[in-house]
Amino acid sequence: MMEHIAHDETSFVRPAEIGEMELYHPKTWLGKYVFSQDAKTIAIQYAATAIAIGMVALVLSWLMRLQLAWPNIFNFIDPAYYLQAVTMHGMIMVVYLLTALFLGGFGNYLIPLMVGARDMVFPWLNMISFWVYFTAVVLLAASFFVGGGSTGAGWTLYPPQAILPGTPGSEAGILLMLASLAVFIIGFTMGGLNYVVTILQARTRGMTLMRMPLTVWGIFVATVLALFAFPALFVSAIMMSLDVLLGTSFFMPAIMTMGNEADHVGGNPLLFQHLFWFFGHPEVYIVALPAFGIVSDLISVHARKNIFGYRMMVWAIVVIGALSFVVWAHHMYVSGMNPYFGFFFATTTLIIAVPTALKVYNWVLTLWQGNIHFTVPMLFSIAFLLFFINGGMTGLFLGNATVSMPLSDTLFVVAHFHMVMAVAPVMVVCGAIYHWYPKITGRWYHEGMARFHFWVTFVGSYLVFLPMHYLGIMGVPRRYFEISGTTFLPDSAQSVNASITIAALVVGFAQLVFLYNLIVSAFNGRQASGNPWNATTLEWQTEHTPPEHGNFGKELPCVYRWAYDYSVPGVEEDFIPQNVPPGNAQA
Amino acid sequence: MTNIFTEQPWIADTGPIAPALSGAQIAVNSRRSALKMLLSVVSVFFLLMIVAYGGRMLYQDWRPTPQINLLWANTGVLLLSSLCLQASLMWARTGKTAWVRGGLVAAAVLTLLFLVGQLAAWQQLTTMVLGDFSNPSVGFFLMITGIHGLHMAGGMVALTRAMTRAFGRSDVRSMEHNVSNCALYWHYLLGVWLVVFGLLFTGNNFEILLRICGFI
Repeated sequence: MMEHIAHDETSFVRPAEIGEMELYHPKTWLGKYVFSQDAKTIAIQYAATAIAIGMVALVLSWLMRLQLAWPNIFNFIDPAYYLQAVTMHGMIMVVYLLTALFLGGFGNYLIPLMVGARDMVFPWLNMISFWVYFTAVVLLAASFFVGGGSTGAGWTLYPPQAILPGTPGSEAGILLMLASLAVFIIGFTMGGLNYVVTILQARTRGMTLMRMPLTVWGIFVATVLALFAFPALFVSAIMMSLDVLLGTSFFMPAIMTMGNEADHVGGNPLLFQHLFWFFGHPEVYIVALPAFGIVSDLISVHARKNIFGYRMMVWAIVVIGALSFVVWAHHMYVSGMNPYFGFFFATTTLIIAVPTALKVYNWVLTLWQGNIHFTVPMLFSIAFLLFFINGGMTGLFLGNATVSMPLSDTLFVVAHFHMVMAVAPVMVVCGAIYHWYPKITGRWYHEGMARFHFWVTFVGSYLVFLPMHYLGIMGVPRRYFEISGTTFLPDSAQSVNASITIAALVVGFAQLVFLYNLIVSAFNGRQASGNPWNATTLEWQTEHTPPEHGNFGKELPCVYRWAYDYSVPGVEEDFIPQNVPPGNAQA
Repeated sequence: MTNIFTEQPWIADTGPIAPALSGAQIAVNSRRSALKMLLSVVSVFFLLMIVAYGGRMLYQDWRPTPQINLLWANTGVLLLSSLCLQASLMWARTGKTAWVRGGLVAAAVLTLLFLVGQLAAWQQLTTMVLGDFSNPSVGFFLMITGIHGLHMAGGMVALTRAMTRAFGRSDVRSMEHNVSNCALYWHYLLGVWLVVFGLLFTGNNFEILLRICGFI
């Protein structure tokens, strides 16, 4: 364990040299690779687990799409199975893949390296955090195999239907889902405290808050959001579990079910919706803010230009984070709310678009007249912009209560949120993995396969989600098992559905190529140098590649400048690392 | 911290790094910092439950929880436990090893007594409502007291570690931080309990609660 050296509050300077004895050194194979306390190993464990369960969710989306494209061809997909696939796909992708990957994966790998720390401040807690997350994933996966199967209540798990007979998985499935979520939140809280305290306490000398790369800012604010938003989901999971197990009536009103009067009386289903979305909307930004931060760094590095409006970018992240707590009821316009209430939430929703739009302008202005290198990370970054702008624009429609109501529960909503918070962040995930792959593995990925992966994913995702807007405007409902025989829909709607499915299958296949490339290149790829992108941030300045336990050499680096000194006039090289002292940059 | 408003990060340092530009702007212990963050998260947790409780009280069919007088005694026990930890902290600062040990043990015993008392209160309530938990106020009572109790039980892990250290060394001055963190956690959970108990379970506080929750 690293220890803090005694200090007083006014003259605290973190020591530049930390004795190796203060680091935890595993003595066994299990200690090094399984129950590792090294944040980098934990990051890879998080990422591998998240991607593995994410692949399950990908297959579920294929099953949904097969049913929608060719109804009743695949006999094993019945309505209950379909709803279970919808539910599990949504929950896994949002919580167990994207949240875990951005915060547990990228957070663990990048925070200590980028702020110049040896490791997280609580390495043991960090290790426990991963294993608690792993347990949550196992609980979730177990629900596929219990009697009645996993829950089919939709990822929002709205009561009363989530726990009433007739809904798939209303017995053990929903309980396992709730237990899994509760365990996930406990694990995340352990990890989240680590990330926040490491950023606040363990930055190296000279690394002021305003010199931190935007990646760290994004992960930092997203973690704070998650720490304050997840309790709402935790509370609602406990309350719903008690409704099922003890017969309490938090959410369950007096209700008839299957011709019989249920035991509950006096519960309020709307209370669940408020709690769920108090978590659910910040969750969008828990996924988006790390993506915003990472893509800012990718664009800057690969356009060889400093990020446009750094301070504005930081404050936009903070303001977006704060506003994300006061927009939740725009998910509930059709719940019958007071019009003034709806007006308030429509207004806050449109206000949050302002800092978000500022960020988009700044990304574009960073690209403007930059020395753009069309590397694979840059391609994914540009793709992110295109998806995010598209999804953001349709958000303006859905943020307005009057426009949102007729579009509610149609595929327009599905298209919107996939564009803005599914595909867009996934573009960043892919770009980020390619960007940091040479540092993580010490080898290069296969360029051809990576470009194939990019183009198929980029074009294919557009072919999946762009037509969905039109289906939504036509009135094609979401979550429906099949739409055939619906008189107001033309036959062409079904043809579009089929084309979307073909595109989805192809995009899914491309992800297998991606994984193959990552795994095979880790062993057979070309050797990579320590700083192949000529980047400025500290993770590229480590003594070894991949970095060893302890990250840096004998001495921690000192930081003299921000992370965006690219193409500085009068300097020979087009980048100056953060740890280069003043006067040492070659003219 | 004010630097984040005024700093121009694009300007590199021109000399040696000054202490004012050191990375760790907040010079507090990491564990203390993590504890404060954790307590913020716990605050949100209890706040949401209180708001949910307040929202439910607005409905016409609201039936409050039957009064349980044992809770007053439990509150007193928790208060004493918190006071013991505060006293232990003062003794740790002055190096009174035996007193610190005694204070920590007393705090632990009183906390266990509080938890047993809460279980007894559950038992009483279950008898009063004849095992019917469908009244939402009863559900809230069980959930909020249960979660508060779980937090106290979690705190016992840290307190047990502090006791082990106190009995394992002759000079307790070096463990001031441990005792201080335990004391902060206990004071905080006492505060949470006083709010929860005062607002939710002593009756006649309907209007105060609704005002806090912003309903009136």
